[in-house]
Amino acid sequence: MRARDMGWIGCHNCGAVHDKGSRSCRTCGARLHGRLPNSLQKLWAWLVTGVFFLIPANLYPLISNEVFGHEEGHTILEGIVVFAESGDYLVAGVIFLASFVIPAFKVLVIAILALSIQFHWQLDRRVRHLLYEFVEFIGRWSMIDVFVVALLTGLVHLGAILAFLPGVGAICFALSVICTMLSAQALDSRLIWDGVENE
Amino acid sequence: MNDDPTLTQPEIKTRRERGWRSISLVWLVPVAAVAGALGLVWQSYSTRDIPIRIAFADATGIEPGKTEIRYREVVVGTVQSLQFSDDLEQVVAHAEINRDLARYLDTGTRFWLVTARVGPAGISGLNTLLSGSYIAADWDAEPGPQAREFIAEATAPAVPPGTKGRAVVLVSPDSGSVSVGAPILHKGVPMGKVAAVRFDPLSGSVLISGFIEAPYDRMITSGTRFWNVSGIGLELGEGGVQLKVDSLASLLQGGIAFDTPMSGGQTVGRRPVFDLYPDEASARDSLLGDSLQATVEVMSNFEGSVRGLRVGSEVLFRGVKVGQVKHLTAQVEEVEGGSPEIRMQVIYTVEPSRLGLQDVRTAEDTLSLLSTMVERGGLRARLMPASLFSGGLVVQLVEDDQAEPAAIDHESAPFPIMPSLPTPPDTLAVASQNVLDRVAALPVEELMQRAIMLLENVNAIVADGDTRALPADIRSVLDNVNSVAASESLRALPDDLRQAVASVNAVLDRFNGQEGVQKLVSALEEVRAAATYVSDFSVELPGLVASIDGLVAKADALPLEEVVASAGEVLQTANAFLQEDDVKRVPATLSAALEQAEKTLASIETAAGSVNDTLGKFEEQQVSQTLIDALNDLRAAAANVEDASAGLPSLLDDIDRLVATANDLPLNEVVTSADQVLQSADAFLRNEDMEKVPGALSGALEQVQQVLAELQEGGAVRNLNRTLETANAAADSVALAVKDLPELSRRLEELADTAEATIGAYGPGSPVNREVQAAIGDLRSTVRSLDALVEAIRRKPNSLLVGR
Repeated sequence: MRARDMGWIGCHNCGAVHDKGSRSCRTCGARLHGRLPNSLQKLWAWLVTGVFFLIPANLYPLISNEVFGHEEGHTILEGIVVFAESGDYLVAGVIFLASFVIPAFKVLVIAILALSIQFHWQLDRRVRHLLYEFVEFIGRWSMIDVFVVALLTGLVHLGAILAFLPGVGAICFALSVICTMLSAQALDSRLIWDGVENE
Repeated sequence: MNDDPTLTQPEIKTRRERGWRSISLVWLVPVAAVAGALGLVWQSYSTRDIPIRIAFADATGIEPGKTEIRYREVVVGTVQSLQFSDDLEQVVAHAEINRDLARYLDTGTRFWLVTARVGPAGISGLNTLLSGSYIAADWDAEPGPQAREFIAEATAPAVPPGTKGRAVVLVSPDSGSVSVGAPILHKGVPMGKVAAVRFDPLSGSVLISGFIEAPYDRMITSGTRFWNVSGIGLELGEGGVQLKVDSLASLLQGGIAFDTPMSGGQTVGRRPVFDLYPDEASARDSLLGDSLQATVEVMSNFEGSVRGLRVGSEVLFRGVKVGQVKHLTAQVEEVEGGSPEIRMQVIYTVEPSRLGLQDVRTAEDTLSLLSTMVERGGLRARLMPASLFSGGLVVQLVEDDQAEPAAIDHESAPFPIMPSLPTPPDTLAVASQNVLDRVAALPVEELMQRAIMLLENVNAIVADGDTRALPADIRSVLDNVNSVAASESLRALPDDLRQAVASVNAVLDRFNGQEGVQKLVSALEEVRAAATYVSDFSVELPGLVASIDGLVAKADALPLEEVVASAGEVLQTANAFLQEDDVKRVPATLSAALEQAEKTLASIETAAGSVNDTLGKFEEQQVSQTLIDALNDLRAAAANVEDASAGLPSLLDDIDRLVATANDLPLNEVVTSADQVLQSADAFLRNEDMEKVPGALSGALEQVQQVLAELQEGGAVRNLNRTLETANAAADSVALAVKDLPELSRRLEELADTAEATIGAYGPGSPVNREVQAAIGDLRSTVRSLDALVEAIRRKPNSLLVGR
């Protein structure tokens, strides 16, 4: 039993319920849609862009440290190796998790959700819901790398002796995270149970 | 749940538009991202770096991935990796260079490692201390044959890349302590640097590459001369001590100065070649010289000694220096069927422009011209004394028409042989040598020996007993004179004389009365006129004097040696004569003579009486009348003299002629005659008659001895002795002093040198003072530079770390 089945339309902005046939929300004035238009297309578009940005984000140095005027850059993987070699396994683990595992997992989850909606996979609604919740939750932690870079660049600036500069990889990584977040945002969660109801 | 059929029918449906309209605009985002990425890839590909390889001797300071390649301090590439060359001799750095600069990467591109460097020329590359070394590159804007493999320079070029100016090559027999980076100065202003110093095994000389910075490079023409100003030059000359220090830097790493003293020189090419002269004097001296190529080296073989000839001796042509001696060797020459002959071989240079050969470009041209001069003009080399006194020799190129035909031997090694002439014997030096030889050959010592013997003999005579007896004899003579004076008749003599005078008086009175005086006066006047006449002609005497001069000159050339030899013989004879016993008998004879004198005095007594009688007669015979007649005669004679003096000019002419004749006379014969006369004198002295003379002489000398003895008693000799003793003591002191004299003179010399140096050195405007001031100036500028450095570091400490 869905709101739609009852002839109601919920404003996806403020949540006010309207009768069918209403064109705009009476409380916030937003346009009313039964379902967000082109939701899956947007999701895929942002997801593809996000994945695409992950390639340079891992090939180019995430951060450059300039020691005595000599610039040296490290990619994400190099940074993990450096920390691991120097014995900071915790830091290396956190970076590995934030920079590799989470983004990859997020992309994977969004992709699974989109595919399951598009091809009406028979997945347990509980699992789908958990996946969606996970994407929503993990989104805010994806930016941990970018945050570290921004912090280092802003705080560690000892003139000519030591300085950190954001690398191309950081920008790409940030773009990638933004794109995947937009991708997750584009998903109209109501589509998740549209298919379920149909079964 | 689906009981309301209207509700089950969905009125609001998800639009399902097909075709391209159903595609959301959001797809533009990934498309734009991919397009941007592709654009970046394309850009990165199109501007991808050019891989090159640079070979280094070692990889000091080169780090793969970090070491940059800079051109004019702009990073244009990075070293990617390091590898060894196949033979492990070199380290090859694989680097990538900006694609934009690829077309300039030609064979002229140079790479070198820049590290911090502290040297006499200054401090450079301090920024590399912290940032690490980098590889500097230099290329010009003209693309040449492309290259991708390079060999790095061992050291940074002294001239910064891109500096405008002109490179020059200086040829020098040795480096003269000039090192890379040494300044090239003009009037003390640095205008360039020495870029490289290398030895050229082909020419055996040192090639110094220098660089003159713009705009000073325009001063370099074919008339420019370079010379070495390295180190300290200390010159001791008549002007005092001269200390030459050009700058502190030139003291440490050498220096080269140049000047263009000859205006109107031609412009030179891209890399002109100049000679580097050892000092300024020789540089300016060479101004007439042509280029190095046109100067030829030739050899000449000389017989006999070449003592006095040394490396650097002049080669003269008609008194003008045309070259200099380079080398002296002895050359053994095998002669067929005889012992090997040793010849002195002299190698010397000839500069064609100094020979008056202008348009000569190559050494071959010079040689062919010299050949022509040898074959047609009779050009020969010979050794001549440089001056009458120095004893040094020069090589003289002379044109001798009478010389036997000869040609330059082009086949001989290492240089062509120029035919030579022996040194002529009639040169001034030889002549003067002959004169000295003749003087030296005179038997002066023999002469002196004979004179000494003569004196010894005189001494013997004086010591003779007879000579000593002489004073006694004289005393007895005087006694006799005394007795004569005391005699009666002599006392009566005054009365007789008085009478005689009275008679004379009478005669004079009469003479007065008869106008004798007037006649005498007129006669004297005539004599005076004659004298005036004579004096007029004395004007002509100078000519006469000149003739006599000639005569004297002639006499000058006489064979004096023979005369001296004869004189020597005479002295020897005289010596022998004095040694004879007869001579020793002279005193006795002399004493006899004195006895004779005694008798003579006795005769005087009787003579006085006769005088009296004569005066009486004189009065009676009217002598005064005769005197007047005589005066008349005298007057007539004076008139005659006047007449005669009229003929004086002709007489003078005659004398002149006579002198001229005398001039032409075979004076040599006269001298020969004189020689003969002396020989005759010799013979005369040997004559037996002469033997009688010594007896008398010995008596006289004996007396002299006596006198001397008396003198001695009078104390004069004692005084003399004392004086001589004093003199002796003085002489001893002098002798002692003389022993210390060399030491003293050495000290005096040192003192004088020191004083000279000191005075010369510290006078205002003196060279030392100037040099010291220049040195102080250098120091001051160094201190200023240090000050500036300290100030810069104080203001921007991190400039030490980051460079600028």
